[in-house]
Amino acid sequence: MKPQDVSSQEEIILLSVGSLEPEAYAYGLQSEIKTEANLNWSIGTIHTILYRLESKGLLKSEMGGSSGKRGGRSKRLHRLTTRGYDLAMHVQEVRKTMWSKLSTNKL
Amino acid sequence: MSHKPPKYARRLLEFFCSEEWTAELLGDLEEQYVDNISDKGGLRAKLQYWWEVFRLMRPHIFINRRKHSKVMMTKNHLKTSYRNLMRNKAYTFINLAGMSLAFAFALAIFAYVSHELSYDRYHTNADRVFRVTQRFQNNDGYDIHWARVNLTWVNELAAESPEIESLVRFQSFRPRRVLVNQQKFMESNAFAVDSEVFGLFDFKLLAGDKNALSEPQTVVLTESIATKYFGTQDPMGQLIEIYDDATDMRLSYTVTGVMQDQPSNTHLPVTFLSSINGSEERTGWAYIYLLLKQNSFAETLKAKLPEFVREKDENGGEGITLDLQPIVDIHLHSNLSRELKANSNSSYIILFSIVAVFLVLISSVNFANLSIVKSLSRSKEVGVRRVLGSGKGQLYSLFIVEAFVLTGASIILAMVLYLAISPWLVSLTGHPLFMNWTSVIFGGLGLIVLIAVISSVYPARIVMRYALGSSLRGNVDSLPKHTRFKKALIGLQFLIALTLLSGTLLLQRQFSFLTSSQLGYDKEQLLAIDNIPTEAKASYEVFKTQLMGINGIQDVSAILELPTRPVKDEGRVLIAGRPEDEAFTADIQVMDFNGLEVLGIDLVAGSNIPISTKSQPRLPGPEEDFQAFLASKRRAYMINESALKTFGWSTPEEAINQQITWSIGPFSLGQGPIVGIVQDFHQESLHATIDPVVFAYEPIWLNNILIKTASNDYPSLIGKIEKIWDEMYPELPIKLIFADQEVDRLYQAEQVQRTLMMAFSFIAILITLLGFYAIISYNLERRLKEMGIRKVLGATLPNLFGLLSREYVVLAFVSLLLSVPLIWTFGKKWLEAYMYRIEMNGTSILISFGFLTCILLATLVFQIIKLNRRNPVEVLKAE
Repeated sequence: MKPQDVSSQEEIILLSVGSLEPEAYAYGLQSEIKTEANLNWSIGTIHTILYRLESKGLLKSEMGGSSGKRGGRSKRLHRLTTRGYDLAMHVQEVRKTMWSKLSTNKL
Repeated sequence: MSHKPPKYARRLLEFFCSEEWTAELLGDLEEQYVDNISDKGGLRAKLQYWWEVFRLMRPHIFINRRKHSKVMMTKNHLKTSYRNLMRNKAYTFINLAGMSLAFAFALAIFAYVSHELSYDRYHTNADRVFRVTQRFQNNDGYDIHWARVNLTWVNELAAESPEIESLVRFQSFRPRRVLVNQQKFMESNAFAVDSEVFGLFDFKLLAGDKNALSEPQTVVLTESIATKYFGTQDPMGQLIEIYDDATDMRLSYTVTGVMQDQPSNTHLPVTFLSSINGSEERTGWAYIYLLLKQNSFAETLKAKLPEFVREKDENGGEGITLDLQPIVDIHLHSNLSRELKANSNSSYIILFSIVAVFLVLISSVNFANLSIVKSLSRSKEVGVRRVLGSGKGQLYSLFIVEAFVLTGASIILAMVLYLAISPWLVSLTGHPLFMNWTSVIFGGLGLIVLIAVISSVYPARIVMRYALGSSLRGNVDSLPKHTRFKKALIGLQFLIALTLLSGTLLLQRQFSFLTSSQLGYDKEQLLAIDNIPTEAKASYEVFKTQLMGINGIQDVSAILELPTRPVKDEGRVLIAGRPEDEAFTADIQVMDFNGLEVLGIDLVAGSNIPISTKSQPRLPGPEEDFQAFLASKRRAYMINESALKTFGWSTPEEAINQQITWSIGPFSLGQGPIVGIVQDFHQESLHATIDPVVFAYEPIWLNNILIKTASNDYPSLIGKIEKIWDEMYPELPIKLIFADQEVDRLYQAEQVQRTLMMAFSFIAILITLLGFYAIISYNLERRLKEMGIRKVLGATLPNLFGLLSREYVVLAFVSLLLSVPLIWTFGKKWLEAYMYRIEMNGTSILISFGFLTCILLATLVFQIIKLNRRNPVEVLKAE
């Protein structure tokens, strides 16, 4: 998988799923993205990206973990597949290398 | 604060969201909602919930409604529908025929009704144009409401009312005699009008402009009249000569415009418009139309009219009322004296609309019934389909597709059928019907969907309700009875058929009563020359002598107004020796001395007006001279029986030799004795009562010539009459009419209604018959085994018939009970429009009831005999 195959929205979702695991479900992700990246994404947006990433094989999901707050309905919990994790890491590495070149250049 | 998320947003999500996601998403949303309530408050939480739901409308979340299997099945359903319909050719034919007949006739009614409703709406200013009408009442109970006005001061209304943009008079409406290049013509629907006429009505000018009639002695013709006069020549600027009836002079007019022919849907048919040549001519009887200004209300103007009448009339407007009629209402809602054209009546429109709804209703009910019946034979197919994994939706679609094929086909057939019967309709109604095909197609589509869905969902549900096992075995014993539904349907059909049939019989009876009634005069072998001009009146005696020389003419007479045409010249009758305020009103009728004889009217008592009062006709000169002339002549009068009663005499002997005077306005006929009492005869149609009539002799008022023939060779007789006329009056046109045809014309409306109603009730009965057939066969099918057992146990055919027919007979009687008040009230109301009418009695209802019950039972017998031929063993061993 090449890094350009993933958009920056997808990248953010990948990162937040990875950091919230195993409690990565749509509403949890929405709050995480709000606090960390200060982005107001609707659940619909997040759900669509999750769906897309899952069909690309970067995520997998299972149902589980309900609470009274949600009217007893279970959550869909997402986790990164190995490919997903590798891709996220790859993207970060590419960025890191490129950033170091930029900062050296600007010095 | 509620902690429940907004209900409708949740419902919305549940509606569009695939089951796969619903639970988790609702959970996420609710969690967010609960957090939001504490952070932001209830309202914003709710709004966000809604917002999030909308944002969730994404393709991957939606329910997947399209499944490949269904798309493919539709093709399969079409194929099986086709096969199924072909297999049951009789059923398909019955259904198609019934539906398309009903729809075709409903279409015909739609065309007729929309034509009737379209009258005068094609004028751009139709909603602003009003007709002024005049009503006159006096203390003697005299009350007449004219469609036209003879009060010259009404002209001033335009200048004095700020609401009026223009006022246009349509006068000189009598048939006009025209001379063009030595050819003579007689034009009815000719008017002298004010030049503003083109601003009121959409008389589309093909040549000339809106000021075509602003010069005196100008004329605008319709295209067809222009072609008649000038052929292919350019009519513009040509000269024609018009006879002026009042002065008996010929005036030359220049053609300054050609307009399009008027469509048939107008109360004001116009073929010929001439100018009014100066304000002194704007007087006498005229149809007056007003164009109101934009944003003016007719009501405001109407409210001012009584004051206007009081102010302008020299006698303070005693008994005179002016009224305004919107022109679009004239055709259906006006029935005044002296209308330009026989108007229709809105009650016919309602009657026909009801019939159309009935037709569509019973044919749809029928279709539903037949579908239910047919669904039985599909139960095995449905069972197999279910075993092979058909879902509910697919089974519904199986039935719906078939219903769509059938209704669609029958609507298309109905349109074809309508086109086939439209020539008949045109000849019946006498004018082309305009069909609004777009609304027909949209309405048709709506109907297809409605009927197809309703009539297929119910049988589909029945078939699916069987236990799978029994439906696979083809076992129909477990079929639901749905008795109430079925009974209601068949009862409704019976009721409608009964109502239509007895209505038709009633109409038929009244019609034959009207046409066969004794009119009081002999209309056979009677010709008339319509509205002869003054010149011909002056030489009437010479003309008469010449006619009498023709072999085949028995007698010749002359009359003021032909029977079949209302006289409505109601004057005051003063009886000598009675106080002047005890005057009566009576029509005048003027005849030549042999008039009664020619018309075959008998005298009840006394004798004819003595021939010694005969005088030469004198042309009307200056008004005062003419009045003096009329008053000074020696008179004798006859009155009819109705006048005898009205004037307060109980026997003819009392009336004879009483001195009376008849006068209308300033024209008085002078005093004379009553010499005879004439038997009542119908001057007008049987819609109206026989008015009191005074008969007098005054040659200048003999407007029509009557010719009694002794032979039936009319072509040669007419040729001879016209030859004599042309020799005597080479410049005057002649119009010959047959008296019996005129009588028939009076009942044309009834004729049309009767024919239409007969056709409609025939269709209705046919469809109902099909319905009976279907329901009975369904019922028998269901009780096949029971009948088999009964037969094995020794039941005879009559036994079976008695058993099965009971419920239908009960149903028929219930419908009868329901229909009697319906027919009684409607029939009574309809008959009230006739002054001379049949009495309502039960015969038409009973005859229809007997007829329909016989049909019903005959169908049953037919089916039972068919069933009886089957061996009961076959039926019973089917298990």
